Amino acid sequence: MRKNSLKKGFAIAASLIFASMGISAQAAHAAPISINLYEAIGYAADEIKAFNASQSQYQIVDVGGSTGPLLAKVAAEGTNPQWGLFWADGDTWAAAADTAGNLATLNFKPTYNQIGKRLAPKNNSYAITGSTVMVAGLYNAAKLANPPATLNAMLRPAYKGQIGMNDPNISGPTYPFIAGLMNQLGSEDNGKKFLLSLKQNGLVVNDKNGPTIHALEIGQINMGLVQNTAALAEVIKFTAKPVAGFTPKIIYPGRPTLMPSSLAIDGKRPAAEIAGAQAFVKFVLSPAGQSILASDDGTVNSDVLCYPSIQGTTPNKYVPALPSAYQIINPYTWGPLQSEVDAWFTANIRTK
Amino acid sequence: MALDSEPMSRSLVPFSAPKGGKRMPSLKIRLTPMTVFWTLIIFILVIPIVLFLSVAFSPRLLSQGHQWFTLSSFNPVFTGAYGTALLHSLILGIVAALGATSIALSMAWLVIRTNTPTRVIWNTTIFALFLAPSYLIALGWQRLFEQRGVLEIMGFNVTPIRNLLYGPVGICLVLMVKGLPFAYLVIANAMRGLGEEFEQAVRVHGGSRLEAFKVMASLLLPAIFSGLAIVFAEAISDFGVASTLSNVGHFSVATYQLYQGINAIPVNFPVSAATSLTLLALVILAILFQNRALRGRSFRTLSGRTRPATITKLSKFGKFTTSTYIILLLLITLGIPIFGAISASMLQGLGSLLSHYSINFSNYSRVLHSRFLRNPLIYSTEMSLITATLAVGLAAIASRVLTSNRNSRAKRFVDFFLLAAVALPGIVFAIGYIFTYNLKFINDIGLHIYGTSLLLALAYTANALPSTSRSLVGNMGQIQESMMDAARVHGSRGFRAWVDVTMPLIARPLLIAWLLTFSGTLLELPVSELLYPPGSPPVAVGIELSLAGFDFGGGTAIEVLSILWALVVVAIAFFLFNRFAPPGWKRIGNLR
Repeated sequence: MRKNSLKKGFAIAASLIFASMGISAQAAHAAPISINLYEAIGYAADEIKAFNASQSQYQIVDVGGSTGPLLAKVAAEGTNPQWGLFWADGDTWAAAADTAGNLATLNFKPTYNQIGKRLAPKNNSYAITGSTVMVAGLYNAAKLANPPATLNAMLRPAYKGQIGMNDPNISGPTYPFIAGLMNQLGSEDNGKKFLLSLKQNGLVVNDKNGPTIHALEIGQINMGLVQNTAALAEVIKFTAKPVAGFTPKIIYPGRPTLMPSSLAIDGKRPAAEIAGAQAFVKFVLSPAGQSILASDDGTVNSDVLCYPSIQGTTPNKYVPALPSAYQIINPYTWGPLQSEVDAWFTANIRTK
Repeated sequence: MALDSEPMSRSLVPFSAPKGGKRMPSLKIRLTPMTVFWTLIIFILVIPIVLFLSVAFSPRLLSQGHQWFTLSSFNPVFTGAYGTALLHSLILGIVAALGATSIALSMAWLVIRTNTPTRVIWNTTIFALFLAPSYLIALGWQRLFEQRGVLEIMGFNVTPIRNLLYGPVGICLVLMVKGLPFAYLVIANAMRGLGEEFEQAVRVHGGSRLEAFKVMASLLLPAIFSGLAIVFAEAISDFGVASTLSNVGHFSVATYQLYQGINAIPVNFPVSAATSLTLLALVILAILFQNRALRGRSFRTLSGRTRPATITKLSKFGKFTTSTYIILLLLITLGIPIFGAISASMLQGLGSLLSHYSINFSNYSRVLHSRFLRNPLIYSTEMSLITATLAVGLAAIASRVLTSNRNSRAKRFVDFFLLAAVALPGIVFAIGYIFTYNLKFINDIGLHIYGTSLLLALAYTANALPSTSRSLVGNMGQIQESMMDAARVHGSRGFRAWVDVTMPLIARPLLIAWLLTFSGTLLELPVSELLYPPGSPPVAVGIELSLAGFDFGGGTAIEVLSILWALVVVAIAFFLFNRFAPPGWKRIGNLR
């Protein structure tokens, strides 16, 4: 309480740091080698369990969470990273890490299918484990008999106040949608003009997939632009238990963006850990790892409703056909623009 | 994310990293409780906060940019849009603080000083309010007033109210509800320690009942200002409401920009730090206001001779009106979030109220075997027990420092950092911890506590310390220091004197502060999400992972079960206190 105690506090704080020199609190590496996997993928826990059971040399430790906080954690760790592997939706984060020289290139060539080949980075710096579509137009067919099938159709007066979307500042997968929109319309400016027109037509912005779908359920909107896995989960739910007045269906206005899920290895870890991480990536992309996509229950784990990226993988039984037209955006081009686009969205679309 | 039947495995995480190597050189500084206190304050509050904020000026210091010194991080902060958001936050904070504190004062008087029949219900349910996250409160309101919501199904036209709710009025209402238990416990604790002699003195000298109430209110000023400060700080740093009602109503608040910086790719910590500094500026204004209002006055009323106040006997009409008021308040504060949770966890789909929806317990029976429930709940309970104990110990000292007349510099130091910890949203606070304890330099000297339960417990403690301390300030401010001096004159020393003299006077507030911290920590998310030891997720992370997999019903069912578990712990703690605590400990503030 006295000033002396405060000074003593400072003195102890400083002396503890210096005095503890030599206190080796780090656990010695004992077999198996432990590797932290930062992940925001619903079936990652099952992949980890299967991998750890398949061998005894490495132990993958699950650090699950949402993509945003996990990326913040990685950024906060800075030059002393604690992650060995990072697995999440999207590839802009992986491209940024690759550009910064933080990733270990895969030491094998995955047997990608056609989708996988188009999504995979040319330098093999991270793996593509599947993909989802951004965005699907989830609409209530009981109220909206003719949903808009193109981007321009969404601007018609008939759809005024009926369309909702997520906020890219909160919903990670929404930025690839906006980037895809800009890519499809020819430039960033054209994309912004389109979003402003959509806003003038009564666009409703919610924070992420859940609230946007809820807005659809209660009739606040009649079409929500959401991640296709979220839309599929809703369709599956209401197909099993139909409800009068609410018939969710999916349409893809314009050319939606195929958004990959990426699995990357930290290139700054010790060689033994990188070897273990490589083994894990190989396992995930192997037939044993890929079989989890089909065997996990898609009704309670929507992440398995992705499109496989590996040849010969059987997709989950609920996964529908790919949209007839889709696009793939370059994460190395669009990733660096995200901060500016998100800030623009807040200032011009989200606020009144 | 699947809710499968496989229990979530918990790795063997050391509570602290194993020791080895050389012995610590002996320290010549005498280890007194105060030096331990200051050491912990510096390690768990000061360094993480200062390091995080320093990034606003020097991104390169923590590898967050290339510049050693820059003010460019403040550019977005000084734009017109952010200025508006900051002004919104300031107004919301003031209104929420005034509203919550006024209601808390009236409730404390009704519950402690009258025989209104419903006071017992309030006392037993106040803890449930602590447990309701702000998003759940907002959710309950939305379920009632939204299109096809309960009230519309019942035939009411609620469109005008809905328009109000999805904007500043609704946000303010939720922030007020969230702040109410903080303000109530601070004021109620102080009121329990306020004997009846002061009111009697006014009455004996011809003062009216109103004048007696004014005297009582002025003696409660430290508690009232504590309540105002904590609700204000909580309100301006809240993001749960900002992301729901604020987002839907397009009403910008300051925390939004902060999250924008954190969610950006690449993450922009310098902008988040600059934004945090503006929130801190608001808190400094609140502290200045508090200090100015209380300067040079003494509020010490609690002594060994303090007599419990007489209960005002209400007439039948008085009982009816006060009971109606309390029940109405309970319905608004607790009934609506409970409804939100139940509608979300017992209805199918996303919890909407479409016709033909069945209400059942299937989500509950399913999550009982979920890997996101059992082990995470056990782990969270263990961490909450440790955190509550540590935080109450520190808070007892902190509140003593805050109410002491002797050390104004130390008092201002503690006051500032405690409120800074509230003003910084949890995620920012957790990032400050990573900045500090994952430094290569710290690791190189052998201190490896990042990724251990020890660091999580310390971060929880630092996060809880402001509210825990504030809940004790009212009581500590009432204790007459001469009692400790008298105890020392009679041979009782240091800690023993504190146990003999002070402990009996604040036993009940300490218990309440402990339960408050336990309840608040059990479902804490932002710090948990960033600092949990690999392989050992707390229950809040389990809930988040369930919701992320669009299992809205399952996630909310886990949340409801966790809240029920916390209430069980609260009930057990009260039972043990009433059964085993010495009679003297229960005398001050005991309900009769």
